[in-house]
Amino acid sequence: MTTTLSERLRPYEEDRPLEFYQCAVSRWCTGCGDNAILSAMQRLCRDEHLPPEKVVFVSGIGCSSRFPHYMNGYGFHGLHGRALPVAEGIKIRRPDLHVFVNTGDGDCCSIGTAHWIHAFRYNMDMTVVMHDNQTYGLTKHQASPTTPVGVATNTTPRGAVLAPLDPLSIALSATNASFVAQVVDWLPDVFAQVLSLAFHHRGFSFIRVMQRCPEYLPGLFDPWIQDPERVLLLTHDDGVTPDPGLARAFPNQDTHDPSDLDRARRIASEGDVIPVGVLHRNPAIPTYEDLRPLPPHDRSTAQARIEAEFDRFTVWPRGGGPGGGA
Amino acid sequence: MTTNALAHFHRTGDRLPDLSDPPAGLRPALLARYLDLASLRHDYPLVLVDDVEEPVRTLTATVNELLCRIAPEGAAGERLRQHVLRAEAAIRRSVPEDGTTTLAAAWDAAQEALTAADDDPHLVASLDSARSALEVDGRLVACVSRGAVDVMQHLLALAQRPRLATVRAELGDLRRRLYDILEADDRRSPTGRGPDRLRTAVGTTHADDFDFDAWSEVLASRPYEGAISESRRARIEWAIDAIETQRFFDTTDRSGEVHGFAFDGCARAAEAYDARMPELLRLAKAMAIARLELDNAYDEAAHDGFFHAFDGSVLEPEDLTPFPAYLVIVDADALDSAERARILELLASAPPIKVVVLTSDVLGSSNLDESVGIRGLTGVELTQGALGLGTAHVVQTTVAGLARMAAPIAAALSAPGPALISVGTGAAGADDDLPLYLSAAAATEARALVSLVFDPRAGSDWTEQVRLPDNPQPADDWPLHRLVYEDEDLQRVEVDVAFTYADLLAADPRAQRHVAVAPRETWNGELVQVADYLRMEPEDREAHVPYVLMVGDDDVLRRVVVDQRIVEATQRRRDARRHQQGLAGTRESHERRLLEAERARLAAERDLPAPSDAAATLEVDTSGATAGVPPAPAPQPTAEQDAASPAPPDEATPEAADLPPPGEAWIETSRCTTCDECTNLNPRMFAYDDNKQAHIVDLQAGTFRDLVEAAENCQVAIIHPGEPWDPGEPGLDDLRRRAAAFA
Repeated sequence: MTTTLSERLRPYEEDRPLEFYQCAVSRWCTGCGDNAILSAMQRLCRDEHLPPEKVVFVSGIGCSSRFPHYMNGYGFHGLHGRALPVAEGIKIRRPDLHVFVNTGDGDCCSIGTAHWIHAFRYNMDMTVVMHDNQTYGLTKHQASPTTPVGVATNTTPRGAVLAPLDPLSIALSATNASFVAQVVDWLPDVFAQVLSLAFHHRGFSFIRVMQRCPEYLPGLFDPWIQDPERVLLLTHDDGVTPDPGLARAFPNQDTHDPSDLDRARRIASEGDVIPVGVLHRNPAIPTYEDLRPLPPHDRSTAQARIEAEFDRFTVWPRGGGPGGGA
Repeated sequence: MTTNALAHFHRTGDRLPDLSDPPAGLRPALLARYLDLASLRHDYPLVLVDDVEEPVRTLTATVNELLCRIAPEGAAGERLRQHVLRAEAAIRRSVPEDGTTTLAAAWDAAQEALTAADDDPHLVASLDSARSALEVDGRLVACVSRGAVDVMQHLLALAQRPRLATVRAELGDLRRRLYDILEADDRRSPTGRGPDRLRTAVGTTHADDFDFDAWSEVLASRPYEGAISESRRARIEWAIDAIETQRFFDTTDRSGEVHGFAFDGCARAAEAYDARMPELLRLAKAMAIARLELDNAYDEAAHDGFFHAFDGSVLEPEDLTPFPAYLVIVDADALDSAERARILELLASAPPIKVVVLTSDVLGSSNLDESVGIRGLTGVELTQGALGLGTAHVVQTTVAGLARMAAPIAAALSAPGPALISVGTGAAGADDDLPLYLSAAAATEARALVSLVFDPRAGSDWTEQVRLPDNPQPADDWPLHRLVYEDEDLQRVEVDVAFTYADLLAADPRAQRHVAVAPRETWNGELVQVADYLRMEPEDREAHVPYVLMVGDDDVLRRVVVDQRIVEATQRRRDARRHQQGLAGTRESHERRLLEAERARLAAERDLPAPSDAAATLEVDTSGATAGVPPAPAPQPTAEQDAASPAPPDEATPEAADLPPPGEAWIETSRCTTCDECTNLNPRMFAYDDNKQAHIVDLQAGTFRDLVEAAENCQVAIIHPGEPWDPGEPGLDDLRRRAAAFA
């Protein structure tokens, strides 16, 4: 089979160093888990040969949402909780762009919850990374929806009283959820694998990242970091396939089929152990773009449509108007 | 009158005085039952439906589908069925040959005629309800050679439509996005940032709220990275112009007339194709440049030279697939030698020119009276020649097989590159009373025109490329049919009759010199059917005279003796078909299938458990083995099982081997989270690798204290300080104690 002219002319994909995707010096605290997410994302862009002009990073407000500033690509640092609607607008108008959303536990699970739930339902093709450090770090440590009970913050000096919201269980219950995964920032190789799977999934891919905040919640994850038995590695041929070294370091493993939604829900609701890997994937759910493809944008027709809309409210002289005096 | 006179006629073609000329209107006996075609629910008329999945349907199938939906089974639906079938028969009788009527219009006309003649209220109700339930509509095509043309045009239009729509949309998209590049460049330029342009952009309503000069100054403070280069601008403008002035696709953004792609001669089509080549290259080049520009992938160093030398040699047949195909429709019998040669030349080339050859005289190749002279190629022989070229998609069928062969024809029309569609439209010279549908179908039955498909892309050898679909009784030399007639004693007689090429030839008025009616008194064992005669050894043929069964206008069955010329032509046809079967691999595969079936039958007989074994079989079943399989020997471990069993713990795995010697400092690099702790602490000692994960670059660039503090600061505790290397370093005892936590 011969190739078409355009395929023959395509330039060789250049190997770029990771630094190519770094845009500015990141201003996160030293030791912050956001750095791990940034380098995982840069590894994905490098390994997939993504040109900067074909990626867009959309964020809301928070430490996590500074992300677009540090990535070499298009970025949209938007309003608190509104990253997803902006990303959806970009995707529907520019389906050729790879859309990524970086949001935090406060941004996504508090002010942005409504958008988040419906984004699952729309199932537009994008990759969403929720940086869950379980506190509002940018505003100096207030309780977020995922802050554990008993953790003292500036808004809960005697310890948080409400049970934390469980983003995984909510995601797995959302209508049309097509890709749900969880990773921890201290297992970068697993994170890289999951991010790659999410990127290649056609639909709304949601990854919750358990992320350390060394500034305000130092040591919060130490029990899990120090005891590998408390991390449950979900392995599957369609999910994470750990290399031998990792497999030895994290012996608590379970083969989980990402198409088994009921089991994913059970795993997500089990208490103390942090499940890591792809919990759910269903490529059969259609994307919103497929269900309602938009015609290509054309300024002249757009203008004609706006004119027609205005005409509806125009008071025409008797006998005039576009309808001939109807 | 003896058989001798017939034998003399057979060998020499010389008609002795007592052998009279055959009466006019003789036709193959097997066709006698079908002469009143309009009263039979045959394949015609066809309905050309606007549906890519099933673009050509028969009226019969359409009505059947309708009745399955609306007429309930049993007596309740019977009246509706009968009424609708009356309408169907009326439509079938009234189809005009020019293909201008649609099914809906024909239905309405038939309904009006039927209800005018019959005021049965049930009839009106039935036809009304059926009409409203009719879901498909389309032009009705009668069985005439013009109908074949209509079908081809319909199939090509439908096959191309999605592709052309895609290209049209892409052209619009490319053009628009190229303009976007120019416009974005304009907006970033100093002029674009000037106060006037900003004012225009804001509009009048809120213009007073802005200070456009100040705004422009703020924007101007942002460094201007420079406009796109002049060469790039020129290239983009050239591509836009090429897209706007192209004449291949009927897009809304273009000017000038669109080219036509239908021709009635190969020479004219080839001429037009050549003449349009510069335009085609210009558009292909513009599209290639536009795609590169839009991906920001145009590299002047790499691409300028390529596009400068851009000519037809860089295009592959696949590059032409977006462009409309050329449709050339010719009549094989009206072609001159030059035009016939041109067809083969086109088929050997790459352009997407689809040649439809209509052959109204499928018997032309065996023109009995000129067989030693030099003659032109017939449509069937052109097909054979195209097969030999091996480059073009080829489909051969008759007008009677169009509905069944619509899918392969559509595939040939939509495939890249040239195609030959050869359609037999009857046997010219056959008597006019024989409907075209029957004579065309008879041509396939008699193997005069073998229905075949050659797809050069279906595989690498003949067997994969050639298929022989839609041929009756494909495994046999000639199809066998049951002929039922009444003998002189008014008794019903049934015989199996092979329909051979000789049957078709004998009905051709041009072959009348070569046939003679055998009088009733000569019917004896020496007269044999042609098919049987051909199977005889040469020495046995001596004592026999071959005949075919024919019926005249008087409906009397006759044995018609054929001469040697006809027998030879028939034998040539049989051998030619065997040759095609060999190409398609059906002769061998037929035998292989028989062999396999026979083997399977024998195996089944041998393995069938005797009734007394039933319990034992059940027992075996429950133990998990398969019934009917002889007890297997005790399972032996196989290599595969060995591989599947868990490997014994092996400490010498790569990861373990990578561990540094005890006492040496190291980092579990693959688990590093890029948190900057260690690299900030001592950037000369710690550095990131290609994946931005930390490792120790130079142990001597820092102290053991640095190492221990880095290990303590490391968020994921992956730094192992090992043993101090400088025994003189102060505070070593304390540091050793702290380092022990990260051993």
